[in-house]
Amino acid sequence: MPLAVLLVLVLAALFAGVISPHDPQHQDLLARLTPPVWLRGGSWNYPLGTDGLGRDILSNLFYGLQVSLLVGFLSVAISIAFGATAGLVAGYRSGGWFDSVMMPLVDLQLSVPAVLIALAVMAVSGRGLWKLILVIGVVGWAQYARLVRASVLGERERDYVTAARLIGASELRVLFRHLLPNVLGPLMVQASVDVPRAVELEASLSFLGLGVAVTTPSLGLRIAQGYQYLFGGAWWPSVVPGLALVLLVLAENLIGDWARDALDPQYRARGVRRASSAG
Amino acid sequence: MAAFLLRRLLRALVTLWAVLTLVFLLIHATGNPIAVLAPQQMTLAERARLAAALGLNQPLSEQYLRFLAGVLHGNLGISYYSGMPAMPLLLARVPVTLELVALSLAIAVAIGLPLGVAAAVWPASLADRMVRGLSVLGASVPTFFLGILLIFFFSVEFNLLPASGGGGLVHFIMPAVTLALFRIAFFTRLVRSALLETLSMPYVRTARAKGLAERMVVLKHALRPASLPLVTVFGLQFGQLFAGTVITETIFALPGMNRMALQALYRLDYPVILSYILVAAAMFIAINLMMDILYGLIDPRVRRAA
Repeated sequence: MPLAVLLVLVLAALFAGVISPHDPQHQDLLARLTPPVWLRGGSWNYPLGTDGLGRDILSNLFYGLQVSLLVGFLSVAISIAFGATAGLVAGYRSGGWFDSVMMPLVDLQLSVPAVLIALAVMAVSGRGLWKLILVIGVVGWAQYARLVRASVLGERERDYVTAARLIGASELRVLFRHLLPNVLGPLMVQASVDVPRAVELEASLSFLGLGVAVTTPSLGLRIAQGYQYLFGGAWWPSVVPGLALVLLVLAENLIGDWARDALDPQYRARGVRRASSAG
Repeated sequence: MAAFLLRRLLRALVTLWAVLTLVFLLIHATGNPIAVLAPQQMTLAERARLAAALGLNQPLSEQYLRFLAGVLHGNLGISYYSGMPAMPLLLARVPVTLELVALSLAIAVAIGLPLGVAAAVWPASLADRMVRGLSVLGASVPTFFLGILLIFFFSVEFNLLPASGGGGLVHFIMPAVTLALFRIAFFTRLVRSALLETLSMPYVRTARAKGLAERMVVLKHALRPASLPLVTVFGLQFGQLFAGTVITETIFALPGMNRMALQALYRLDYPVILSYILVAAAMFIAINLMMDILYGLIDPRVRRAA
C-alpha cells in the first residue's frame, strides 16, 4: 500500500510537465484564492483551488513533489557517498591516522543538530535548490561513516576479504568491490530512514525562507506562502501542499519501517543471528 | 566516578572549543556583515569606520584570540543590530525556550509512558496497534505543518487559543503540543520495546514465581531497568529540543532564544550567533553530564562499574 502511494507520487512528480493543468508560476490575479472544487465558489478549472497570487495549487503540488523527491534521494546519495567512503577507509584501517581524524569529526557532527548547521550555512551562503541539496547531503554524512565503519570492522577479518587480498586485489578493489556490497544492508536501512528526513528538512528550511529560491515550487515554501491567508479562512493554500507532504513522508516512513524489519537482522531474529555470528 | 566525570568534562570542553572555532571560521569565511549592516548610501570611509568600531578590520587571528578571551569572560561583544551586549540579550530569551521544552517533554512523557506500558503488557492488542499506527503518523507530520493545522483549528476556526506571542501559559499550550506529538510517538515506541525486553528476563520470571501481583512485577521490577534508555533519550531529546525549537518559535511567534538566533542569522549578527552556539553547546554538555550521573542513580550496576 505505501509502495503504491509512493509510486503514484513519484509518477506525478515525473510527469508533472504533462499532467499539470496550468503553468505552476502562472498567476491568474482575477482568480486569487479560489477554493477547491468541492467548496462553494470552486471550479474545475482549478481542482484544488488557487493560492494568494492566483497560482494553480494542483500544478504546484506536482512540481513540488518533484523538488521534494529530488532533494530526498539526491541528498541521501551524497550523504552515502561521503559517509560510506569515509567509513570504509576508517574501518579497514581502524586505528590509522585517517580513522583517528575521522571519528572525532563524526562525533562532533553528530553532537550538533543537523538543522542548525544547515540553517547557518544556508543563511550565510544564500538560498538555492542545488546548494540546499548539497548542504543536506553533507550534513548527513556522519551517520553513514559510523555505520559503515562498524560493519567493516566486523567483516574485514572474514575469509573472503583475506582471499581477495591474497589473490592480489588492490586495496580499492577490496574496499568497494568486496567489502561495500557486504555492508550494504544496514546502509540501505539507514537510507530509507533518511530520505523522508531529508524531504522534511528541505520543507522546513524552505518554510523558514532559508531553503530554495522563492520561485522554486517547493511544498515547504508554498506552505509558508499560504500561511498568511489562513487567518482569513483560506486554508487550502497551506493545508493542501502540507497534506501532500505528509502523504509523501508517511509513505516513505512506512517503507523505511518495512525495510528495517526485512533487512535488519537485529529486528528480524535477535537470538538466531547472535548465535550464528558467535561461531 | 569522579575521575570518570572529570574525563567526560574535559572531553566536552574540547568539543566545545572545536565547535566554536569551526563556527567562527565558517562565518568569517562566508559572510561579510558590513555588507548587510551598512545602508546602501554609506560611503567607503564610513564603512571602514564601522568595521573598525566593530573590530572587523583586524587580522583574523587577532579577532579569533579576542573571541576566545571573550568566551572565557562570557562576553561575546555587542550585537551589531541592537547595539546591546549580545550574551545578556540572548540569555534573556532562554527561559521562554526552556519553559517550552520542559512543557512539551512533560506532555510527551505523561502520555507516552502509560501508552508504551499498555502496548508492551498487551502486545498485539488494540492499544498496541493504535500506538504503532500513531507513532508512524506522528513521525511523518512536519512540525511546522502540525503547528499550522493547530492554529487553523484552535485559533481561526474555534478561536480557543492565541495563535502567537509570549505571555501566560496559554501561549505555550499549542507550541508545546506541536513539539510533543512526535515525541509521544517516540517515547511510546521506546518504552514498549524496552519493557518487552525486560519482561522476558529471568528476574521478572522469579518475581512472578514469588507470587507478586502482575502490577507490581511490571511497574516495580520490569519498568525500572526499562526506564534506563528512556532517560538517555529524554536527555538527548532535551538537548535536541533546546536547540531545535526554531520552527515552532517562529510559527507561534514565541520570543525564545532560537527565534532570536534565526533572526541573527538573517542579519549576520555574529556576536548573537556565537553567543547562541555557546549557550546551546554548553547546554548539550551539561545535559550529557547530568545523564551520566542519573545512570548511576538508576542502575546500581553502572555505579559499581564506575
